[in-house]
Amino acid sequence: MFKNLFAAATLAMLTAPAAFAADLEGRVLKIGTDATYPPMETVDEATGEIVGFDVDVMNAICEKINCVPNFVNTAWDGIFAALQQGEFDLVISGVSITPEREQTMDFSEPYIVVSQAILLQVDNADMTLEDFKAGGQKLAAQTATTNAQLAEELVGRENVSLYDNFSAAILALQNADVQGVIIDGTSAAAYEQEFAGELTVGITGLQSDPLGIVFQEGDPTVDAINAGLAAIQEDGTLDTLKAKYWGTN
Amino acid sequence: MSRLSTIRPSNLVLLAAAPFIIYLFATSSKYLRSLIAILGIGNNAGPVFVGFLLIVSVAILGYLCARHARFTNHAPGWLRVSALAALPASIALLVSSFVSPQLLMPFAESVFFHALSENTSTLIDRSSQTWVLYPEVVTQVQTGLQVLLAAYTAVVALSLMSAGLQPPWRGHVLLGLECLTGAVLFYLMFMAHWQFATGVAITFRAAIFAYIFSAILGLIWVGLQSFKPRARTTILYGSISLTLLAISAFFFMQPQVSYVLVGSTEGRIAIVRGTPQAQADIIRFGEFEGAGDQQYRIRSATDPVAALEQIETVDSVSGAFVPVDAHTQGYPVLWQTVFLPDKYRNPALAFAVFGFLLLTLTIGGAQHKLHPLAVGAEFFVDTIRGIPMLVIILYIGLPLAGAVKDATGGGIDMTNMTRGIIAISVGYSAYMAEIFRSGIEAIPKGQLEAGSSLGLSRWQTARLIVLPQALRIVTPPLGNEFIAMIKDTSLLSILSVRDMTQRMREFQAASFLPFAPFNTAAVLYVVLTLGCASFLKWIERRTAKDNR
Repeated sequence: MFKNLFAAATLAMLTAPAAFAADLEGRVLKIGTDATYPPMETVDEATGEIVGFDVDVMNAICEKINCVPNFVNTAWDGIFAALQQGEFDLVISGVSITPEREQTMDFSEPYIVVSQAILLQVDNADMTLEDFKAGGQKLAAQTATTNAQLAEELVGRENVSLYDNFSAAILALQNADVQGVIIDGTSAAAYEQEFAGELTVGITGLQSDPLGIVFQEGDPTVDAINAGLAAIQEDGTLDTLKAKYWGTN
Repeated sequence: MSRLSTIRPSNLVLLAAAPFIIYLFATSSKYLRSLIAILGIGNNAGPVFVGFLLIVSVAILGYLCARHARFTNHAPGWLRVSALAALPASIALLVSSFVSPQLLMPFAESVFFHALSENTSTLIDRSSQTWVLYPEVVTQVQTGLQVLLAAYTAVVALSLMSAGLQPPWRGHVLLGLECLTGAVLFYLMFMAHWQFATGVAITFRAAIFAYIFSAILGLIWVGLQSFKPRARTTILYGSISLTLLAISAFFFMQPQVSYVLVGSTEGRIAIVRGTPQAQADIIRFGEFEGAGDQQYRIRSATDPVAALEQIETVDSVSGAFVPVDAHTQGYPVLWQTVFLPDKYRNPALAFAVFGFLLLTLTIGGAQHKLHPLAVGAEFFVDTIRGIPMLVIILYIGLPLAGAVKDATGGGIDMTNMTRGIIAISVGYSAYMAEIFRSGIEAIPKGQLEAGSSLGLSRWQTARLIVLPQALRIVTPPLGNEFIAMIKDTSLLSILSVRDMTQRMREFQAASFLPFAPFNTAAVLYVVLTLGCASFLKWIERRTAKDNR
């Protein structure tokens, strides 16, 4: 009996993941996300569940640190205000880590780095960055995103049309109201596939943004999530997920 | 044919177009998918809908039965028939809940599940991706459903029997039964979770509730505006506001607490939960004496002891901001400050604001011979009308609801839907107040004088003479407001409420379809508003006078 116990204990010690102690004890995390951003997060038509890369990452992390994710779908406009009010425990919605945001919120370590790209109409596939910088060309992006900031830097505020979600920005591009849409390369690929023969990722590698999970300023939960993130990076889960969504990355 | 000729022309247009629309939805998979997404047809919708239909039809029959019992004679034929059908129907439903529970259980389960608080309830099994109720809870729900149906059958039987009761009890019992059966019907239609059409339910319900509340609030503002000042009004309200200011001063004079910043500022600084935001900001932005010209990172701790421990235990933490008494470890003190704790500061500020506002209203009212509350109501109406609905929703939905939550210690934690409804109610109550005011002012003054010469009190005059006529005048603009409200519910998506518009956006993003979701949403909104407009027109016709 005692021997068995001892053996079990040794076995447990051997198989335990190294340097890993974060445990949220089955806490339910309310997670804000704006599920209008393929392939990061969208609502699955068949089940009505929120699916996507961000969701998979969060589920993988929660498996490691024993928490229960509960995704709440919300519009991007109010997402950070709601986080700071404590409506959500955290936000994962393809959020870029920026110095301005870090002043008012806390970020986890980056879980993926994406570079921004410009979607163009196929007719203008040969447009270059210089054409946009020369003026007279309009760019669209989602309000209050790093894409919007970059668009402003490139062509000036008066030539940027901001929309409250990317579907609307893409529609504006299809209507030729704007000449390009600035979007994360990861999503640009998804749109290019969907609108093959109509839209194309013309200009890539503009500016690299690390994406992070967002918390209220000073929230200790960030440590546990970082530990979980480190664990899924270590055992290859994160790479598997990236491969699942973007083939080779 | 005669029925066809009484249909409103605009409905006729929609009816004529209906076959084409239905054909479009039935044949085009794009449109059908959009429809399913925007209506919010959840999983397991079919069985849930069947259960809902059965239960709601029995609830309607039960209500009609209770209504019929109140007629002493001349009840319409259809009402008599429904009253007779009610008891057999409810008995059949009760029997079915024992014989084949799978008929009603999907609906009962989904209603019960969504009535729980999903993040904290212990009845929910969260082990798999899709959360479900524990099996033993499902059994309890089934028993509960059977008990409820049995009770409802008893209520229907009671209303059949009590028709033969003698006064004085008769009236009260029958009114009670009608209210009870009406409440059941109201719950099923406007409160219970509709798994089979979540999107429509949210849009429609938000509008209905906001309409009811905004009408009540609007009437209150109008009522306040009709207050007339008396001889002592100014003295009374002046003294109330001075009292409020005195209470505020009392809170301001409470003992202050002393905090110290200890440790070093190389890493993060641990802040105790409940530290006033202003103090935390001084630390964060390095505005304290002896700070470098930089910003500091902070980290929350549950209590002073934990904050001091974090300096040792957490790598990234090097300092802590704690009460003086808690600091016994002898870390170097970087900065010391005294401030009024939030539990005194918040009431002090609140009383100061209210006192000052009331004082301003009193002075303004005294100058213009108006009642302070009337001035206040007018000020409110003017202010609210000048603020965009989106801003009102954001403001009430986030900071204000958060403040209420903090003030009650988490006791009043409204759902996002409730917050949205309150925000829309407050916003529209200002317009409602103006509409009611215009209706009331349309009543000739002579009628008021006639009322008071008959010895009616002001309240009786309002209730018996002014309001019935005024309401008839304002029915059309009120209908207008309702339709505007249905459309403004789409703004609630910023509070994580997934109404029809939000679902349209989600579906658009997931499916990459450009126009089908837009068209579907437009058609659905038109059907919804035309239905409501027809209902309002019907009410208008019923209350209309022949001489107009």
